[in-house]
This record gives sequence, structure tokens and C-alpha cells, in this order.
Amino acid sequence: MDRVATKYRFVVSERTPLWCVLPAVILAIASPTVSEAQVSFNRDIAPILANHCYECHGPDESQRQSGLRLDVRSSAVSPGESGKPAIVAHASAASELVRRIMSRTDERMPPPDTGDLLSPKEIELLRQWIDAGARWQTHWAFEPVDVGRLPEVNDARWSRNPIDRFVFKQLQEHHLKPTNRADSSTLIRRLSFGLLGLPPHAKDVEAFVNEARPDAYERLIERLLASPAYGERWGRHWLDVARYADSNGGDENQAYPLAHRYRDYVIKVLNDDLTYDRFVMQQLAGDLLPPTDDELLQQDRLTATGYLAIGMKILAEQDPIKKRADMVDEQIDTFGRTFLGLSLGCARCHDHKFDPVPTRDYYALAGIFHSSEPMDRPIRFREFESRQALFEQQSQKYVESIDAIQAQLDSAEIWIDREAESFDRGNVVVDHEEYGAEIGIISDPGAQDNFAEYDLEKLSEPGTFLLQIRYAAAQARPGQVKINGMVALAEALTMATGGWQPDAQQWHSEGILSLSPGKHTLRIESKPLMSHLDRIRLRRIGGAEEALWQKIKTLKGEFQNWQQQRPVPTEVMSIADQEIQNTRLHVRGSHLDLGSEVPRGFLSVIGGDQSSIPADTSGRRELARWLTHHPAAVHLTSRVIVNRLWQWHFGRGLVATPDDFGVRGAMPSHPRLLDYLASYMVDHEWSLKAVHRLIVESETYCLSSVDVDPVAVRIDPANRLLWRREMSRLDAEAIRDSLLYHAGELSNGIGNAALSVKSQDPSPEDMRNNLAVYENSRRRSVYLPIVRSNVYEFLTLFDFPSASTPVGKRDQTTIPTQSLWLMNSPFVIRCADAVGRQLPVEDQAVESAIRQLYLHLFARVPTAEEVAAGRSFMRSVATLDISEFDERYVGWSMYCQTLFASNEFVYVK
Amino acid sequence: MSNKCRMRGNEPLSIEIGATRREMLNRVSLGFGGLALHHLLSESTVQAATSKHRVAMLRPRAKRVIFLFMHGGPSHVDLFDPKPELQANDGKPLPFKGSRVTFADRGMLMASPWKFRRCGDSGLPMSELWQHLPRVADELCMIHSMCDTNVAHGGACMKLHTGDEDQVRPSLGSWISYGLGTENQNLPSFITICPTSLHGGVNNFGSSFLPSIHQGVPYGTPGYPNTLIDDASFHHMQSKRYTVNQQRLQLRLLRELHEKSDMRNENRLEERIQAFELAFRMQMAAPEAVDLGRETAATRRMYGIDEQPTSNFGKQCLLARRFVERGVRFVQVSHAHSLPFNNEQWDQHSHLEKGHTINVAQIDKPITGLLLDLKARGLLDDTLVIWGGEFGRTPTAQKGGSEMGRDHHPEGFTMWMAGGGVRPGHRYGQTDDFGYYATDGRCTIHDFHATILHLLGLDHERLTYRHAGRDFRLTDVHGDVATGVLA
Repeated sequence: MDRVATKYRFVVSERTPLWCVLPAVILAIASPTVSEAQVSFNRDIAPILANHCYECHGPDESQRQSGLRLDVRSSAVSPGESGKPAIVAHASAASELVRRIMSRTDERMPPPDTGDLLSPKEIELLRQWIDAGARWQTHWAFEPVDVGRLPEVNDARWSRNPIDRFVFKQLQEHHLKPTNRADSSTLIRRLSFGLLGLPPHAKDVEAFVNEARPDAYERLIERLLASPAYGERWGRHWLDVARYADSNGGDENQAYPLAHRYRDYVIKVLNDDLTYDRFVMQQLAGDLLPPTDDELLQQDRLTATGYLAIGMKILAEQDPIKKRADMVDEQIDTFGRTFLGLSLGCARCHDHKFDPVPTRDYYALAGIFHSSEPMDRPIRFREFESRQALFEQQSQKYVESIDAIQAQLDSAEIWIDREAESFDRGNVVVDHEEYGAEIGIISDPGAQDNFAEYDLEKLSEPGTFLLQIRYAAAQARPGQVKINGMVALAEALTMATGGWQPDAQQWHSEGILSLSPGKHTLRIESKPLMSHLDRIRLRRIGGAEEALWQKIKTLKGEFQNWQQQRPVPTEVMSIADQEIQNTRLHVRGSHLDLGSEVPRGFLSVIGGDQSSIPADTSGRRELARWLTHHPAAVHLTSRVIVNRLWQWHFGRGLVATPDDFGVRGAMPSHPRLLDYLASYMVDHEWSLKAVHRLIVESETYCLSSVDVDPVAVRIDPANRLLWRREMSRLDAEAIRDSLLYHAGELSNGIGNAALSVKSQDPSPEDMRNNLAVYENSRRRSVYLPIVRSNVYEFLTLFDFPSASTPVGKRDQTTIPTQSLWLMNSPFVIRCADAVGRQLPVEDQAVESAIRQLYLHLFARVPTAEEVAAGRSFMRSVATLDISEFDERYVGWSMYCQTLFASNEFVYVK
Repeated sequence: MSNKCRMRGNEPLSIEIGATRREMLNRVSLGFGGLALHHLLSESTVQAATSKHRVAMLRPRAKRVIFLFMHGGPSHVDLFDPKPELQANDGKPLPFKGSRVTFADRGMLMASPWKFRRCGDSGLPMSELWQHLPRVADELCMIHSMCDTNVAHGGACMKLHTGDEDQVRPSLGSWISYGLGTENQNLPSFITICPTSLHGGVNNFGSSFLPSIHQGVPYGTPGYPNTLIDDASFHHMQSKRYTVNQQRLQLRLLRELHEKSDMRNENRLEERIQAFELAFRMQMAAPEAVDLGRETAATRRMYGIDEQPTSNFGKQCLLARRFVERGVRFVQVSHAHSLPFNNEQWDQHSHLEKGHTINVAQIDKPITGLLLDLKARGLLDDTLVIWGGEFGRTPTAQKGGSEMGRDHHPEGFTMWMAGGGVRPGHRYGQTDDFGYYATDGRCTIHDFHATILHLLGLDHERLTYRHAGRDFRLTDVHGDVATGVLA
């Protein structure tokens, strides 16, 4: 047996003092899958090669040195450029690799100038592996799911749930004793936060703690899984991965006013337990599925594709080709991390340095996304279509009536007919070339008080005239008309005609002018800018036409009002196939240096090269189907999602890097359990709730986090083998939701909260208004607008992700600025006040009030010591000068605020 | 072999342990932070892990940084980089091919409306707009060859602040905080005074995937235009309701409950209680740190505090000095208001003469005062002061508009450094005869960042953070130290 195994046996021996085997123990724990002592390529060797060698001797051809690659056996064992094979199986002493990594000269590998150096332990592992025959393995994540038999466990407590069998088996192998089952108070609080993100109601706590029926816990699980709050909690988890936000972020932070429909979709379908394979399909290709009569389903499908549209984009990028390529890159990277746990973005510029993802695969995927264009799309319900038809019908009637009358007016005799540019006085500019090409127009020369005056022919008798002006305006630039210096028409030139060019020139009747005999001056004014005026007419009219004019004015007013009622379809952020195109390989990622065309396709390492995409579609639907149906891909897709669920329950995944299942990601701590869960989900029709049930029913889930065994702490301090439950801090949303809940302010409406904050170019005042929106909202935190580049500071403070890239695992930091927020934020004090106001002012009631508070806030009864501490605090507060508040509740408020700040409030045991 | 694209990792067994260590770092963050703590942990806790440090400490020449950020893009050919050929060819076309990607339509060459003169013993050229800065010319190191950033504000601001023009990455200040920690446990290690909310917004001082203790703490709500200094404060630094004694009572109860709890053996929860105690000390320290009333009349005069148009920016600069004096590692001061005729402060697409005159008048005296003050206090030796915007402005005029202006120009422009370890009174690099392309000593943003880190004793290739399976750097896979800038 080799040295590692020898050391390893020491651990088992109880005579050996622990301190002298500690390094070996750490080694064993870091690789807890050791059940036989042999060196494993995947567990021991691949990480060494990936970290120290693959950059120059790995999959990336462009960086490869001396033609040697160490990720492939055939290259490593064949004589290289030096004529000596890097690795000679069974003979480490004859292997060039071993000589070079141990060299003390310039020949050393990795090269001395990199500052990189293999440790003695790494060198030893490599030697052992070579001496044992140097066997390569496929990276574990790309291997098929291994559904072996359930481990046999001789312990009633640990054999009921399959999860427990795997966990307990490993604990036994490492002579670790799990903690006891947590008490009922802890369990209901844990389960309630875990499944709903909310504290349990005090009444439910009392009922559950006193419940005698044996299936009380299972019944609690079912009740919580059926609660709509489940979708809000787990929807938010998914939104972390989907890098959800209500604004673009990046450089120009434009609002995404429709993004929330995607958020609400996620919450809804998780509540409905939409199967994961369909969830994947809807998000990638909901728009491409065959049409259905079920309108709500159709809406869901279109809304789901918002997943591809809500990413961050650099909107001011001046290079349109780069802009588009960056957008596609964002989609590919998000797609890879979300569903496969692979960072595909690396392959944009070069073959992936560690994982078997060649650049070619990247551009095969890029073709799919280049053939699809994000866009807002209307949802057309039948009910909407019929409302719209009615609307158009009525509109047509208005148009016909107006046109008929207009025709009559237009037959009136023309008295004056002048080109606008024939003005007698004015400060406007005349343009014959651009906007006035071939017709001649007048307009402003820049912002000023514009005017143009026309001296009219002498009038011999009084008359009534209709003023008509022909002009063009993309946006309305209203002005007024004066006769002899007096305002005659206060509102003129009010229309937008659809453009500035001659083709948008339209006649508009401006109003009626009654003129006395004599000379008159007509003056048109407009400030600061002026529409593009082409021609002016005055038609002589009589009483009949005047009546028609009144009628047409009324009709136009009605028509305008009617148009306000135009039915507006619900719109969603979505995506649609556009021109179908394969992409050409971008040499070193540059869109200015194009290589050969790559047919659209998927990842070759997991069967993607065997697929073909029809010529008339982007391939998104085939992509989703490949993920959830191709045997080679399903293994990875299913492992990634069950690991995410585990991660969100336990705070650490079975694979500790939930977004990275690649060679540099973590090895699974319980590989067979991971595979069991993956196949369990697929066997249960991809139901996520089925996996939840299995997990939360397990004894592993129910372990206590306190009363820890000191020996276990020393052997496995990081608790990789799950001998206890890890305490976890509430995430930002759960902290805020709990505060609102206890204050009695939390509203429980589901969905549909449109963006109510300013995202782009906010002034300090906008920022204050935004803050007020956040602090005054009573909605659950999942409904708060997420403005990229300006996320609500409370959320950021408590480790809300940046929303620019998928985050499967949030940080859990402790920083003083969090403390300052809990100590000083008006929001926290408001919530504490709300609780304080409900508490009794009489001295004799203090003790019972403290008991009530503990039940509500911590789901348990306080100890005598804790009650005494509370009493003493309330007495001390009474001696302080808080007379300025003049209210007993302030003492309670200070006490509640302290409980809010306490570890027990923000941590789940 | 190529050194350019190497990623350095821990040795494999430390991956998990490394994560744990990082979590501890996240949790502790009691002031000294940074890799100093990282180092300690690797020594004491994790003997099995690598003894290799990610940061090869070079000899630090500067201990702290003040970054004077000029939002909008100051015009190098009108401020620091005189071009006789430009003056001689006013109104003529650019005699060679301009950039492929431009922001606005560009017209003919446009001579600078200002004369230049040589300043100080070193003879650095400055335009006549500068009335005060010539006094400290011999402290400055001009980098005339800045280049290779984005042509739009957003991409360029993100690149300057984070090294990346299209993704959210940790900011320069947060990398430096991560690398060096703080020297004052009672103040944040990275403070940004009156930042803009535009063009990357809070991400430009965020920590992205670095532990959040390293993110910049804004003094003044981020906004557009930026908050005026008299309206600025640290958010939630003071209780509006309770006195110190009342809060002390709360903290005492908090600790008592923790010590009586069955969770008391959890280290990170003890650390959390300590974070409250630290926060309490911070709120005691902050009011003193920001109290400009403690400065002498002479100092206030030096920064132009009590006169216009320098009062606002003068106070920002003086505050920056008070922060670095107290051990804050990285302070950014933003000149990022707007003008009536341009959106961003220095963004003179039109009204170049009017705009640049106003802008220089606002900052000239305060910046000069800051440098003189730092020098007088012996702080300039190890404080790195950086001046500049996200790009320069074109030597050509922008098309259209009655008041002449210049377009965005990322191909060659000027920034300067002063103090800690830079070569004083020196001109580094140059642009062509028209101030268009950086020619000699081209200094990309990555080179610029590498140089800043180098001055602080940090090797930009080894200051890495493992995220999503990759060791990230501020300089990505690029960057060379501009050695000519070093003293």
C-alpha cells in the first residue's frame, strides 16, 4: 500500500494522538469520497493537472506548448518533441514529467518565472498515479449517472430515506457520529424559512410542537409546499440563476418595464410544479412550440423566453457587430452556467483551457442565438382580438365621417394661397434642399421665438375664412396665429404628421378667422422650434361651412378621446427567430478576424455533435430537447438542477460550486447521492417538488446544528460529510420579509408589480425617491424592482447578487455596514416600533410579553435567563432619558430592535 | 512560453480549504482584512494547504490612492498636450485615417483656443487655463499615451474603474482593498466621495465577486448630476433616534443574548457580534473624520473652500485628504456634475471654450491645494494621486452645433499621476503630431492599472481571486507596468 493509505489507516487507529495525523485527515476530508485508498484520476490528479499544467498543455490548441497535452493519454505517453514521453505508465522514474516537476533548474515545470510550483504532496500523488498505470478517466460530470444499489444501513433512524443511507454510510466510514434530530421548534422554523422564506406563524408553532400525530412533520411539509409563498421563495432562487433584473444595467441603465412578467411566470410555474424539462424548454424555446388553444399556456411560453432577453447589454456600444456578439455571448454564458454548470464564455476566444469545450462548440451555439433576436412581443388573447376589431370598426366610422365633411370644406373657394417661404417678414430659415427639397419650407434656425408674417390682400368687405396650413412634424411643435398683432388662434400647428420630410407634409385646418374690410397681417408664431411649413391657404366660407367646421371639430375631439381607449395587448420581453444563420468562427474572439463557418449545434463532449438542426429554425427548441432528452446531456442537466436544490436547502451543494461542474469545479462530496437524486428526479417526471419532499423528509435535513460532537468538529470541521446541519444566515429577502411580517405590514399579494423606480440617469433626488419606494413597499422582497447598477442598498448589503451573471450560491458576509443598517435604518426602527406598540405597558405584563416575542420571533420559549435579561433591559431603558418620545413603546421598540439584530433572528438553526 | 494568459491557482487540495478560508475572510473583516489576514490564516490554520502566496509583495512605493475622476472626458489637446501641427492646420481635414468606430460625426481639425506655456523647472506644458497647477508642475508625471478604451461613456467608465468594458467586475479600489486591507479599523478601506450614478453606476465602485467588505462606501448618494458635498453623508452612519448611551445598552443586550444562546460556540456568530461593536466604533469615528470645521483658515483657503467656484470640489478634495490621513486605502473624488449646455461635466461636444473654462476653474485651485497640503504633511511621498477622465477629446471638431466642441476620444489622451513612487516633473509617452493616436509608450487601461498596483507593491498578475472556476485579475490577461512612470 502506498503512503497515503498508510497515513489514512492512522485515522482509524484510536491509539494515535489526533494532532499527529491531522494533515492526513485534512487530506482525507478534502476528498471524502476516498473509500479505497487508490489514487483516483478525477479526484486527485485532474485538479493538479488543471491547476498547474492545462494552460499550456491542455485542450486549448492555440496556447499549447511543445505539442504536448496532458488531458489526453495518447499525447502524454507518446514521445514528444524532446523524444521522451512525458509519462511512462508504471514508471514514474522514467517519466519526463516527473523529472521536470522535480527539477531545480530552469527546466522545471511549471516554468520558474510563473511563480507556480507543485507541492511535495502533489508530486507524490502524480508519481503514485503513474506507478499505478496512469489511467485517465472521463471527467466525472460527463460520465453517465451511476444508479447503483442503495447502501445497506443497519440503523432504523438512517434507513428510511434513501438520502440518509448514502449520508450515514459515509459518516460510518469516517467514524463520524451525527448530531441528534433537531427539536420541533427548530424544525418548523427551519422548514418554514427553507420552503417559504418566511417565519412560521406563532399559532402554527404551538400547534406543531404540541402535535401528537406521527405524521405531523409530513403534513407540515405538504402544507408548506402547497403555499403560494413557496413559489416566491424558490422562484427567487431561480431568478438568481437567471440573473433577473428590471433594468439593463451596464453603461446605459434603461428600464425593462416588462421584465417582471418573467419573474411572475417563474413564481407561478414553480408553484404549479411545472416539470423541470418543460421549464427548460419554455425558457429556451417557448415561442417555437406548436401553437396551442390554451391561451394561458401560450402566454406562459412566450413569457418564459424572457430568460434569454433580460440580460445586461452594453447599449451605447458604437460598434454594432461587437454589440450583437456581446449580447450573444451573454446568452451563451448564462445558458451554460444555468443549465450545464459550464463556463462556455471562455471558449469565445480560445478552446476552453480546462474543460473539453472547443471554440468550435461555442460558435455552433452562437449560430443558434445569432438566429434569434430579443424583442418585446404582444400576447394576443382572443378576447383582445375581438375588442381590437370592435375598436377598429368604430375608428373607421369616425374617419369616414370626418373625411366626408372635410371634402365639403375643401370645396370652398380659395382666397389666399401662398408658399410659406413667401413671407413678408420673419426670422425663420427657408430650406429648399433638405427638408424642403422640391417644395421649399420654412422652419427655425435653432431655438428662438420664431415668426413669419404675411400681408394679405386688401379686403373690401367683411368675410369669414378657414385657415389651412400644410406642414410636416415628427413631433408636434405647437404655435399660434395672430391677425394684426392680436392672437386669433391660440392653438395652431398642434399635429405630429409622422416625419420631417416632404412625404410627411399634410394639410391641416387650423381654425376660422373673421376679418373686417381692409388690410390684414397674418402672423404665425412658434417657439422655441417650428414645424416644417410648406404652404398656407385661406378659404372663404359661409354660415353652412362654419357649422361644418364646428361639427368636424367636435368629431375630431371625440375621435381623439376614442383613440385613448385603444386596447393595448399585454407585452412580454421575449425572443423570436430571425434570419437563420450559422456563425463564422471568431479568431481569438475578434469579430474583425473571421474564420470558417460553423454549423449550428451543441456541445460535442456530451453528444451535441450527433444532432442536426433543421435549416428553417434557429435550433433553440432542439437545444432544449437535447438538454433534457439526449442521454449524454441529461446526466449533466439533471445533476446540475438537483445540486442547486440541495445547495439552496443546505447552504452548500453536494458539488460546492453549483455553477461550475467543470474540471476546476469542486468534486461532489457524495457522488452516488448526487446521481441518485438526479435519476430520482428524472424518474419522477422531473418534478422539483418530489425532490424537495425527499430532501426535507430526510433525517439529514432534520439534524441539529447545535450540540455538536467535538471529535466530529476536529475530524471534519467544514462538515463536508453532513454530520450536522449547518446554520445558515437568512438571505436579504427573508430578513426584510420577516421584519415586515412581524410588524404586521407584509402584504401577501402575488405577482404583478410594475417598475416604480427610476433606473436611468437618476438624480440624487430620484435616488431618494427610489429609496422611499423600497422602504415603503409592503410587498415581499421578490417583488421589489431590481435595478442593475443601483440595486436597493439593503439587498446589496446582505449579499444580493449583482444580477449580471448566474449566481447559484450567494455569499454570506458579515460586515459592519450590515450592523449599521440594523442599528440605524429608519426601516428597522419602524418595524420595531410597530411591534413595540402592540406590547403592554404594565410592568406585570413584561414577562409574558417577552415570552410572546420569543414565540413569534424565534419560534420557541425563552429560558429563564433570557427573560431575566429582557426584564433587566426594560428596567434600564426606563432609567434612560427617552422622555422625548414620551411613550412606553419606545422601550419595547429598543428591545425588539435588539432581538431583530440578534444572531438567532438572522440565522436559521 | 507565453506569460500573458496564465492563470494561477492554489494547489488542488486547497480548493475547498481555500473557500473556507475565504469565507472566514468574509466573515471576519474586522479592519485589517485584505491578504494580510489571508496570509495569517494560511500560516496558522491550514498547514496542509499551499504555502504559496498569491501576491508577491514588491517594494511598495505608495500606501494609498486618491483618484480625482473627471467625468465626461477632459480634452488633452486643450489642457496638457500641446500640438503645433494642430494649431497650424485648423479647419483642415485629418491627414490620416481616423478611428473605425466613432461616437459622433467628426469634422475638421480644430486648433486649441488656448495658448500653452512650460511650467516649473521640469517645463511641463500646461494651457493657460491652469492658473494654480503650474505651482506643482514638478510633482506631476504626465501620461500622454493613454489609449485603448471604449468610445462611449459607459464602456469607458466601466473599463477605467473595473478593467472591463462590458461585464460587471470588481473595481480598482476594491482590488486594492482586497490586496492591502485597511489601515484604520474604524473607517471603510475604500470611500468614494460624491460618485455619479451614470455609466456603470455603483458597479464602478462595487466589489462584484470579491468579498463585499472591499466595496467602495459612498459618501453622498450616487446621482446624476452628483450630490453636492454639503448634502453628502455616509448612509446609516448615525442613529437619528437614539443616543450613544441608548445604543450602548442595546449592544450590551445583544452580546448577553449571544453568550447565553446555544449558538454561542459558532465562531462566525461571535464575529458577527464583534462586527456590531466595530460598527459602533465606526459611527463614533466618522463624524470627526468628515468635520471640515476642524481645519485651519489657511488650509481652507488653500483648497478654495470659502469661495466660488471652488467650494464644492475643494471640500471634496479636503475630505479626501482627511480620509487618507486616517488610513483609508483608496479614495475617489468625482468631478461629475453637469453644465447647462453639456450633460456630463467634461463632455464638451459643444461649448468647448465655455465648458473647459468653467471646469478648470472649479478644480484648479483645489487640486493644487491638495497636492501642496499632502506634501506639507509628508503624505505625498506615499500617497498616489491620479487625475483623469474616461477618455480624451478629438483633435477634430464635432460636426454640427454652433458652439464648437470635440467628440469622445479613446485613441490617445492624457492622465497624470503624482506622489507615491512616480517620476516627478516627467512626461511619459506621446501622441502623434495632431494628438490623435498614442504613439510612443502606449499605455492601455490595463497597463495603467498594472502600474498603479505595482506602485502599491502588488503584482497585477498575482493579485487574483478564484471565481467561477477561474482566477480573475484586475488586468484580465493583459497589462504591462509602465516602468517609465516609476521614480
